[in-house]
Amino acid sequence: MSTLVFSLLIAFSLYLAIRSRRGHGQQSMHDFFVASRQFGVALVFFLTAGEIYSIGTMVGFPGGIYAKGPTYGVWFLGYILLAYPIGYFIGPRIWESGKLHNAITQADLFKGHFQSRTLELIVAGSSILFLIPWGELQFTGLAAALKGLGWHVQPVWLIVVCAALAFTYIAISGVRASAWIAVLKDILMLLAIVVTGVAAAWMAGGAHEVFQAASHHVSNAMTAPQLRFSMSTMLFQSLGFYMMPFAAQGFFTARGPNTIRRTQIAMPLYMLMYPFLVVASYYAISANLKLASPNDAFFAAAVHLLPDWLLGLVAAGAALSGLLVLAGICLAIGPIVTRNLLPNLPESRQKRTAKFVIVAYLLVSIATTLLTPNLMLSLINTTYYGVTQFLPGMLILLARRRVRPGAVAAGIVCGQGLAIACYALHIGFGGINLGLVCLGVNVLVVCVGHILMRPFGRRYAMPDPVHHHS
Amino acid sequence: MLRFLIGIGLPFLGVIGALPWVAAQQDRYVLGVPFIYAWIFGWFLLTSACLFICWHCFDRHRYANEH
Repeated sequence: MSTLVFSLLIAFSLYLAIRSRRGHGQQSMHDFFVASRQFGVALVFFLTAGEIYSIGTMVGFPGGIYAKGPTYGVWFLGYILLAYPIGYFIGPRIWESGKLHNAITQADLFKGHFQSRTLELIVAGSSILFLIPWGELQFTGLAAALKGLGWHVQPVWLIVVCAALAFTYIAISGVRASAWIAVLKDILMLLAIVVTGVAAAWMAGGAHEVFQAASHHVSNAMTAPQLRFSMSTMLFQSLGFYMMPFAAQGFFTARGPNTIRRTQIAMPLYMLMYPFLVVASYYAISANLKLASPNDAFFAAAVHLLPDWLLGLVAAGAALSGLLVLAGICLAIGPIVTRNLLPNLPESRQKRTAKFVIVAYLLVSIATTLLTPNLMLSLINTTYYGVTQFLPGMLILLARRRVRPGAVAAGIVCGQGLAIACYALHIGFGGINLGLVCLGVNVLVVCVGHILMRPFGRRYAMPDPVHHHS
Repeated sequence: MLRFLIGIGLPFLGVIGALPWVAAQQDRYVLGVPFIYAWIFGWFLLTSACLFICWHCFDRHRYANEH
């Protein structure tokens, strides 16, 4: 029964993808990837929410608080929440800058403002590199979710089917399909979480009982290094949140700056699903459920509490949340390759080449998922270490300041290189998020580089040969 | 300036700045929810409210001719 409900909902999502194309005939590059800047508040809201609340919300977060208590939960909730005020202020600027430079990708913004091919290549290349762990996270989460729900299929097959589905969605109509499916996904995910949370509180005789039982198991206290980690990670990742390559693209789909502002006001309210998720995950502790892994916490509670057909709905919500993020990553990577890495491609061939690139990305992610099983927590962190290093450059270009592109490029390379080195060599900073330290180094390099590289050359005035289409 | 203070300053102070104090309230519960969770859940609403104030009092007029 649950399989039937699940299949029907996935079939419905495919129907939505096809339906989303109606009335848009032959899609141009801009329509395919950023919907010709036509989306209103509702669609931007669902698309953004759809790409933010990934499978990590239903697998990684419950697993984290189940195993480690509020220490984990607080930074996860905090960084997402604090990203919205930042998005409220920089999102409209990103949109305006995108319009000015006729951008589809984040690297287009760097190209348009700094007029530097090297900087464009660095941003484009490292965007792709650091999106691989993010894709891995989705695949790992998808496999964990469907296993947690008691479906014993080989992970390889599961992952391949998921990749094929994600590709099908965007092959049909690009970001328009993503936005429409996001509406379905957000409704299903909310329903799944709220229903499970309410059922958990009901069965345990109130939320109080659930927390009481859980507090014997995980401590509500935080040690000093944990506190430093939580505070610095919230700061660092909230700054990096909208530096994700697909986030800039999400802003570009909006009709205008005020659409983005209104979306950001509503975004924190979507997080009101988390209390239900916390109750559901802690229920696994209070009811003494046997878990194969902490990541199963939410699904174990769902399996324990819900009737069979509702589990199909939970599974579909989880699967779509992973698939949609994958689709979002693919929509970001396709144009990065066809516009920024291979700049001489005629526009007529960009879309087709992008689809080949997307398939290649999915295959690489599948391979890395199968070869290097990682903790979901560290996957999230790895992506942020790299992506957040775009922040100084983005702020400079949003403020339209003239800073030497070489200095910005050096900052990004130093920040990312140092972050990878610290991560690989396990260099710690007394609990402080190593990405934040590297971001500090990045800013320092940009400042010093800018001063040292004087006197100014004539590079700023160089016309951009690729930038002639309107 | 005031709009940045309300829109960014308040949420960051409340969520990050106050965390050491919030984390020290280990045995306090609000309606059965540990204080640390209750605090951050509360900020879901408050952050949205801060941004709404920014919009309603400043940006709605400031960017009135944008979409």
